[in-house]
Amino acid sequence: MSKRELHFGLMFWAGGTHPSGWRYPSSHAGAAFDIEFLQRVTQLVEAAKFDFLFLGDRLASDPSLQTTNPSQMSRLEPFVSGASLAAATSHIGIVVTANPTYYDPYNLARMFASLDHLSQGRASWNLVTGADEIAAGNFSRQAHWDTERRYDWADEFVAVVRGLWDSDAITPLHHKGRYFEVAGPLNVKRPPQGHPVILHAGTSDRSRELGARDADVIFAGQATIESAKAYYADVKSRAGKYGRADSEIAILPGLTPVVAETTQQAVAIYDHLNSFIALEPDGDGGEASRYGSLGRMGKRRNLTAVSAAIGVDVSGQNRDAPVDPIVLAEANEDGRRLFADVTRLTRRDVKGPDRLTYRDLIIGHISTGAIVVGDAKEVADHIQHWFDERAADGFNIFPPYVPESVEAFTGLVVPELQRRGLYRTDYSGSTFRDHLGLAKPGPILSNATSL
Amino acid sequence: MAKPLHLGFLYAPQSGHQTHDESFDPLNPIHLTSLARDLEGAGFAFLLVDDSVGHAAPARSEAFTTASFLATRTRHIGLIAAANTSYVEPYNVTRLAASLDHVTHGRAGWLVATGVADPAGANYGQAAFAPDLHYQRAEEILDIARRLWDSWEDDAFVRDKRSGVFVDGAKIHPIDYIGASFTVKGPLNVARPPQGQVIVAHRVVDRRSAEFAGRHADIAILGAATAGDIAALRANVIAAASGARREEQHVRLFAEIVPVIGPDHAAGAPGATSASFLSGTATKIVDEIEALTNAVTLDGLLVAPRVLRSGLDAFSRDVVPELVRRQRLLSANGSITLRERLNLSRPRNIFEHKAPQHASTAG
Repeated sequence: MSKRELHFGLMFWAGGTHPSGWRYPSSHAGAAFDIEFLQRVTQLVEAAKFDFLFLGDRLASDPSLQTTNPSQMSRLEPFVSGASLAAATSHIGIVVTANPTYYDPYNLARMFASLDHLSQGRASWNLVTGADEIAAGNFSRQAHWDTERRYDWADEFVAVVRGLWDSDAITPLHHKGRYFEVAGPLNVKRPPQGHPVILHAGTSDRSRELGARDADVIFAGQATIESAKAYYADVKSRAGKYGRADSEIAILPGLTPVVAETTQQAVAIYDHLNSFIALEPDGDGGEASRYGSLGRMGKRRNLTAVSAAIGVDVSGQNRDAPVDPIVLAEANEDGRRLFADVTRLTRRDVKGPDRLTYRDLIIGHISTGAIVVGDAKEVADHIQHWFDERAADGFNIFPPYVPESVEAFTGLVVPELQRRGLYRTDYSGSTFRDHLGLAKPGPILSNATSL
Repeated sequence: MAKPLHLGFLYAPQSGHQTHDESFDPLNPIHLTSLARDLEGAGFAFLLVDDSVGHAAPARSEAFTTASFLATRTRHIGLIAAANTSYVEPYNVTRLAASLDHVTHGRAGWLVATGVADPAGANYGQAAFAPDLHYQRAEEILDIARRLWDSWEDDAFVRDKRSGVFVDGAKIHPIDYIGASFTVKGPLNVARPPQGQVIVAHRVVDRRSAEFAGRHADIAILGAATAGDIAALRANVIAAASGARREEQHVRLFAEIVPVIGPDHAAGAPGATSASFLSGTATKIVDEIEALTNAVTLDGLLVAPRVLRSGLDAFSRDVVPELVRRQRLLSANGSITLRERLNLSRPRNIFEHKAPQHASTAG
């Protein structure tokens, strides 16, 4: 058995995954529609031998997203950007997000088969079922489907798509199921990878089941190593039920690295990014708007919300003042975890020369997902720890600001991981399946011909 | 005296009357790149990537994915991709076309096909339905697409790093479309296309398709065997355009021709009537083109060789220079977008005048 090695993807929200990433001085605020820029960043991670480039998507837009998720307001359609990125690269996997709830299996099977041919075996489907309620309004739906309905539909949808990839004139599909009737065959030849790589993310029971059965890569959102380990073990054991080996599924949690030559510089960048976040007045500690609640910063950006979370009333405090140590002493468990997180990220504490502020608590409270701030060694240590502990097989890297955070990660952290022998120094093959060490699947249909 | 022409190229391997040489693989990105670059070099205004969701034979890759790939591999040529309105969600196809326009910097077009020409209900769990219903659906989708393309005004993005204002919400519009087949709230999740509205093309082979093209298309592709039949289709398109209060000069009229280049012999059309077959030496073919365009006023020709690539190579080598010599070929002339190349103006945004009016101080 070959040695386990790290896998990396780039979660490519072009304006950066930090809500204010586009405001960072070197960021390209118009990145989302600048295909040459997207290609340059993709080439950057391809040079760093990343497994894939991940194109996220949302099927609706609203101006109110600009304060919470500006990157998610609008972007190029991912098959269009994916095919354009394929034309400018040669090895990196290209992950296109597509939601079966709002697609048709024949069309989607054709699109992925086409992208796989055009990219010569680098296409991948990030299968999402869509928690985005407002998308229904763009697709002639009366209402947003509930989770059960979406997953029932998705389960059959994936089976149809796989069947179409394997179909040919001798064995057309003739599918007749609960939701779909598809004659087939697909009129695009079987994809070079057989089946393009399938990604899935999610924490619900249905989602874990779908991932364990159908996904080659699972993209998880656990913020702590404990929850990530539990998720990792759960999904791999579920996969066993479907006769799949541990090595057949790569679990790649999201990770936001803020890295620089020195720890001090990294903390300064982290603070700089967060300085753009507009805080809200105290008073309302409830949920933020429903648009915001889908992504980062669903929580209120004020001390009322912090107070509710930590169990100590700090509302009305001067946000730039150092936090009174008594607050930490009186905080509940969540509160103590919040303080520890803020200290881990900012290196500031309630005592010592560098004090954390009330503002730091607000920022820490609204932050989601795993973040690591530090120099190359510190970030590499974090990655290695999660990898060794089997909390992760690698990471989907969230670039908080683009392109500089990508340059910092590929320029500083990647060489460190390569020195440690944890990460490839070159691609061993040319397809996305090759990078993941996955064989090309044989056709499901017994007498179908393959390429 | 006929005017100079635009040339478009029809890429439709293994459907209609097009086949390909063994040395050309439609699924090979290197072959595709070379085809597109050669067309660009020969002076073609656009490459039409045709598609089918009904033909069972595996022939090629999906049109929008293919055109998006070729966007990066070319610089000047227009890229028109086909999509069938009978089997797509309007929001999806609208953003595909808008996005293709962004990655080509304004060179994109959409050939609107319907289930009338390419029936594929069996792949979509649909029973066959009447031609009128296919066209009703196409009408609705076009209406939705046009509104969605305009749902972001050109200057909706503010992107002011200092103030943190990313967009001007007053310049982003829901469309609140409610029709017989579709309900679409909007706005689109793509910025307004560089061309404002993506170029829309439609194939005209009968009265119904002429109606549709006259109302909606920037490019009407007239498919008939004889100059007389092409002229009749043209008249139907013009009549429909004026019925829709569009000006005649806003529709570019192309005739589909199948050049069969070889020694001067009469190789008649093999029964097909959806294109004009021109055969013989290059000189004779150009003579026939001149005869056709003297008989029918046309803006261009959609060249659909029977065999890829040899048919194109012969056309580029022999026919194109003869067209140039007779000053019958329009050049790109410094244009950047497909719209500019076709001398079509960039449409005003339908939502712009609906924005709150600023008090005017002009005297």
